[in-house]
Amino acid sequence: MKKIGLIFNFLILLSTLNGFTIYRDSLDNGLIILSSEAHKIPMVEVRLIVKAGSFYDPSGKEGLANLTVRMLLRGTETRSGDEFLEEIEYRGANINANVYEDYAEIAARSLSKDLETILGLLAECVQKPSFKVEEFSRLQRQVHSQIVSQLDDPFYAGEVAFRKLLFSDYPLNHEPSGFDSTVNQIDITDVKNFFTSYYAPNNAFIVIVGDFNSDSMKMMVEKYFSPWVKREVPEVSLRIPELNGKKGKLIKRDISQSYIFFGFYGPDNRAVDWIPARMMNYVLGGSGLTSRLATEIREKRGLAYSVFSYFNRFCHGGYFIAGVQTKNESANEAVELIIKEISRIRKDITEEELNRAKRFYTGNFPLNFDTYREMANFVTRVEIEGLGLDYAERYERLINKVKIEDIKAAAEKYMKLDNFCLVIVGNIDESSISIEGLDWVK
Amino acid sequence: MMINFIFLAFSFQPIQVYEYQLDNGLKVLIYEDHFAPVVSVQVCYRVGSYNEPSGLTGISHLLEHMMFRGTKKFGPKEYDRMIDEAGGEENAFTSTHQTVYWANLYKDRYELALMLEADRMQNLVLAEKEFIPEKQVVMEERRLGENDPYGTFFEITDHITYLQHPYRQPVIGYMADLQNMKREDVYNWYRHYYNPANAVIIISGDVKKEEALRLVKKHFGRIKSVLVKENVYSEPPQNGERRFKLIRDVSQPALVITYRAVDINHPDAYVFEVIRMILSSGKTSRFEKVLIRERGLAADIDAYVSLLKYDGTFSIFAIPQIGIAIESLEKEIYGEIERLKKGDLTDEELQKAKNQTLTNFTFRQDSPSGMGFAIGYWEILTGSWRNINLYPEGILRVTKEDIERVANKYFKEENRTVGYLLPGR
Repeated sequence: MKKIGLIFNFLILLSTLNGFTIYRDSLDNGLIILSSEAHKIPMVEVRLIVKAGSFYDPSGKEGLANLTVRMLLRGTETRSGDEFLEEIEYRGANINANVYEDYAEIAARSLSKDLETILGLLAECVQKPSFKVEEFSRLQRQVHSQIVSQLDDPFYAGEVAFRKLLFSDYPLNHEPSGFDSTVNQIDITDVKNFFTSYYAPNNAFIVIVGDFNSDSMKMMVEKYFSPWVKREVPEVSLRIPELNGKKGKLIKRDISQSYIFFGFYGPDNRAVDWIPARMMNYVLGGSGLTSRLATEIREKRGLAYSVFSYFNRFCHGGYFIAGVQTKNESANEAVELIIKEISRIRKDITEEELNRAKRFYTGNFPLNFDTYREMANFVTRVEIEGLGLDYAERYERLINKVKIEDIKAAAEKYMKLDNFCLVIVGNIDESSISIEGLDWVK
Repeated sequence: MMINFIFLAFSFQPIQVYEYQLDNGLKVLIYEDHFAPVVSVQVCYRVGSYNEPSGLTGISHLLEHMMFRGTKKFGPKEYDRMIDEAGGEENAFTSTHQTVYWANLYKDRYELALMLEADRMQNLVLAEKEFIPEKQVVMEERRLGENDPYGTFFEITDHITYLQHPYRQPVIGYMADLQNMKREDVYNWYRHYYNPANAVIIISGDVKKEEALRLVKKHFGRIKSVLVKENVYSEPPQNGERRFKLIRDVSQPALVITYRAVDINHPDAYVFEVIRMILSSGKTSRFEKVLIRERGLAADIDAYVSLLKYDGTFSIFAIPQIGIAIESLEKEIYGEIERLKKGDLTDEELQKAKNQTLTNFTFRQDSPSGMGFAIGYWEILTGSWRNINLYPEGILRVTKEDIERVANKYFKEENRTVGYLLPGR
């Protein structure tokens, strides 16, 4: 057998839960391999993840990370984009290039017997992309048209405006696909430079979940990925701007409802108070129909179908949104109720509510791994968020040790009612929203 | 391009479902999957927008909402609270032929869902004070659909495609019908359609079938049943192209082309599915390869097969790229349809569609709750879950000649409805 040059530093997790084990290995070039074997069906989920997400988009070229990863499926030095894709889809496998704030990924799903082909193709597209200018122009036109048509959806338009209002020039200010105004400012040289900067094995990892044999999988990864050359990756360090005052933005649309987005900065991936913050949100607006926001806005008053709140967190920042869609006449009442509930949760949360949240999070945990796909999602999160390979084993303890004071401290830290952003997409006037000191941005 | 790969080695494994019927008529379908300690409990009632008479559109869906508003034993929202505290996930949905309630729970607590479903199958209160705000909630849900750039567009498409058939009615219902709906209407609907003989219960996941059946009998066995009859409606042939325009506050136009097709049990159903795959499944499909990538005409384009119990459609939805006239995109889509009519299809393309069908059959088994929904869907729409296992073979039998024949038979001008969504207002 060929010698395998892998550093074997595996740890076991979830051994007591759904009985799945994650192994973490790495190649000499720094590429990390996270794998978990399962043998329910003859299928594998494979992801190649590079820490080259939309956070790294330069200002004025938002959308670059997206175009870069999507170009990887548009041809290599040895085959055209069509040949590359046919090779995968003819087997009934599928492949997608996606971008998120923290990372870009190429995700594939195939029958087990095609694992080697898939790994070979992933290695090829990430080491030898052709970056043909005509393919790039076509992709750029398509992506630009897609963003413009997405903005016709009031929900999407509201989210885009909210992030811009909240983060100003900080690079979490845009959806991962970029702004409609900046996608066309990017050229093929930008793509090549971005690729050269961030696409390195020491800035990437592979996730493989499903039906494979560990020894042969490792040989394949070694064979295809060890030629990928290690290099230095630039560090980005930027400070999140201070959030000062109450900022509002209205987008007028001829529609029957107002889409309301209200929020602040939130914890990032490393925040130690993430779990209390999340449990606070569960009580506020994260627990479906039983949350406080749903009870007040939907159940008691029938003001909305959709009412929610959530934290979105990343490596370099995060945000909180409470949102609702209600008929235009009810917009002010809904905003007032959101503010009232946020103000209430800063002061008052009961032991019973805390215990309910604990029962939900501990009882719900095993439901997050009942498919290969969810297992792959979980493994990706553990690595990106730096949760630690023993996260699943620590999870119940992390939840159960949260006290009322921790939740109150998180609420006070993140939910400051003197500094917030409010975006409304709908057919109303600014004057119909009665918030003192709200500064409407044009 | 070289593809030296032949798809012979892979033969699909049929799925195993244990089927029982209780004395009161409740159909019980159990699918064991012991991969993860999770169980999905799904109760499907054989009622949806198809069954709704004029003036009561949306009533099945409004009832679905009211099912969370309390029974004699458990107050409003108690259902959500109890499943939540057990760490479960739950929701419900209504479609043309079914209303489905589901909960996913850790394996040692799925009896909770059975107990709560049995309770609300017979003891719903439907109090007026709960009904009033919930009706408002549903009206907001309807507004949400109207404000989606394409919601109304698709609603009009169905309305024009089917002139007589109840398939023309939106599941959410018309606003005026919702406005006029009374608590008694909904309660009568509940009394008429909700009983064991008109329901299917699916238990999917880490269970032992004997134990699951025992628990179903324990909770549902004594519920009385009434036989529900379903009227059969039909739609006459279209006999002429129908076109419409919808003007909205959008910046990008969109296009829909809908052909009348066949019902789900028709032998041509498999052919429509293969055509859909050739046109729009994956990045090498004709629409994506030709109309998006090579020619730069569409920003997005997809084909949909919607074959239901009594009739069906084959639709194409497309958004042009900026600067492309919607008329020329429409014309180029017909160009792709013409290729099918002329038999312009390679063996590799057909084989690829078949390979994708077989792998999707395997991929789908990744999710036990997803399998549960599929089992319920096939049981209610086709008459038996067993048709799931016939599906791969049906697809494998499709020939190039079938595709040419079906394209020529159904993809005719006089058999289609075409809609333009245009910016304005």
